[in-house]
Amino acid sequence: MNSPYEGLPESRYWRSGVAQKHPFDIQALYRKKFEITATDRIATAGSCFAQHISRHLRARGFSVIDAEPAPAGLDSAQAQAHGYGLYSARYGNIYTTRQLIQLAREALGQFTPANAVWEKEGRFFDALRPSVEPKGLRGAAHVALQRKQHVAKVLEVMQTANIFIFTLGLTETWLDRASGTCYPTAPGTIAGSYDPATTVFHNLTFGEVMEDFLAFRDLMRGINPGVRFLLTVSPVPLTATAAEDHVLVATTYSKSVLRAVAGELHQHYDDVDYFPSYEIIAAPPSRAFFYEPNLRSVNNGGVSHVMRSFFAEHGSAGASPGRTAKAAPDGGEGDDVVCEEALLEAFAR
Amino acid sequence: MKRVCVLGNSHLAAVKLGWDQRAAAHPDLHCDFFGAPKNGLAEVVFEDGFIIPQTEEVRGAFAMTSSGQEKVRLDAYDSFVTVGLGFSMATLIRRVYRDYRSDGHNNLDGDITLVGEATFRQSCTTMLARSTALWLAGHLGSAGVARILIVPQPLPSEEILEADDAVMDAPLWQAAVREGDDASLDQTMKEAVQALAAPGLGFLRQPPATRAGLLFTRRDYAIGSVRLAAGFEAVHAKNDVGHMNGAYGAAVIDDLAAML
Repeated sequence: MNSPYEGLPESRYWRSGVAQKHPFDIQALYRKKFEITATDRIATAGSCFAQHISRHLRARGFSVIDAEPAPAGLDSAQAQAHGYGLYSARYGNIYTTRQLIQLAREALGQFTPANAVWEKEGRFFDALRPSVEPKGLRGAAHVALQRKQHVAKVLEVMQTANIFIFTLGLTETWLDRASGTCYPTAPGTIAGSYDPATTVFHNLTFGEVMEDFLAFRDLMRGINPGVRFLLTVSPVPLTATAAEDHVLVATTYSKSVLRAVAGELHQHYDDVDYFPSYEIIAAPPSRAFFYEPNLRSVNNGGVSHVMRSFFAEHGSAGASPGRTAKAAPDGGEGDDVVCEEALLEAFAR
Repeated sequence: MKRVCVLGNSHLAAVKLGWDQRAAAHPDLHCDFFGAPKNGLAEVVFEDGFIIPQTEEVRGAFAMTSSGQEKVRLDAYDSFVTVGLGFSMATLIRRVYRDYRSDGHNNLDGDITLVGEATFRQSCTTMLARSTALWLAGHLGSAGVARILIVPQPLPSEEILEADDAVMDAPLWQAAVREGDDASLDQTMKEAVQALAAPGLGFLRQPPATRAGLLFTRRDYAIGSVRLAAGFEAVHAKNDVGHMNGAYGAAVIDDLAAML
């Protein structure tokens, strides 16, 4: 009797492909769908974990777009604390597909965010990227001008990128009740104040995440037909949930939705690849040893392992791999990524 | 007698002429001058207690400005002074203000990027920290020199307000004043100096009597400025608004003497 499972390579069986392997030795987790070359202009965006991808790509000599470079003279830590050099533009972390499509529509003049300026102690913050100016600006008009300049650069990124790498991070988000404007953090976390009459929690569904991303893909391809997409799912669990579930359950929901959307996009679209950073870090074989003791932050060993898997397929674009190690100093993720979602920890009793 | 070594670029000429005018008023000082045009002072090494030029051009410039010495013996001096060498408001205007403005500025028009005030000031401080003046100061400090003073490049002559666009970023300086950014820029410079101050390292503020407002030098101090060239007689072009004359140098010498 024949079985379709007969004669498959060892990577297709859990025992030989996973259980009998050391996590570092698990092979063929990722097969690239398309080449990424040194001449490709790569745009990066997404949740905190995406910052590692940006940094390692640059260290390997790939051409990662930096449309909003830091003023001369800021060192790396100072620049990153102000949102420079993290991604291809200074949009901060884009945790959800709702943020992503909203930003793209704004860049194309199809959307104007509501209640886009938050205030704290007399300083003013961009509600759609509140962490990029840690001390805020002097006035709402300054925030508006800075946002206008930023959005023009986002459009530049959308028009010129050959490869758009996006790390899906969360499904939980906060919306302006009247307009639907989506914020990366709840008002009151960094600035502004939470008013349930104007701001509502929303947990995106599979359908919404899919719809958001497909709309984004359509918009970007509309102005940049050759662009291709590489998706990853952040393995970083939620710091806190606003859903009526245990945070572990909420995390599983969120990551499951994002992983399923990424999987479906990967299956259906030739221009969408999926890189399994989530599986490498979060799946049972790693036994959580790629996490810091808080079981949330990914340690440098985990990041390096993820990027080794990526570069095993995509190689380097000229720089020596040794530079990657230098670019990722010891000290753990928390030391070198900017992640305002982690601020929610401060609200724990 | 305090022995002072004065190092600088083209702006050293004014201070040298000022010393010639004011030496008699400061009998407790002895000054030697070592200069090289443009960024020649970056082309030196610190070796065996000497500052040694690495190019013939700089070696020749040292000999010309010091009456024959081709290298600087560090232990021959009690104090070192740097003049110009990139430590200037002009550096901040050209390298930062041209492209970036902060929410502390009024002039927010044009193709600029708005950043937070702290970011702007940090950028300015670092640009000054990377100047050749501070690079030399760092090496001098490491070599055991106990007293180093930084004399900034003079602010441009107020004539720049009437200059055409081709002159030394004139439109930027003009806009800075027109829009009222001069106080903020001056404050940025003061904060940078505070941030860079260190034991044994001091900064001379441009003599108040020579200043026209917060960003400029009085026009009479720019008349007859000379090049850093043999004889110190070759006068700069009429439209040069960046270099000052011996009277300016004399004011600097008087202030330096008070600090040394």
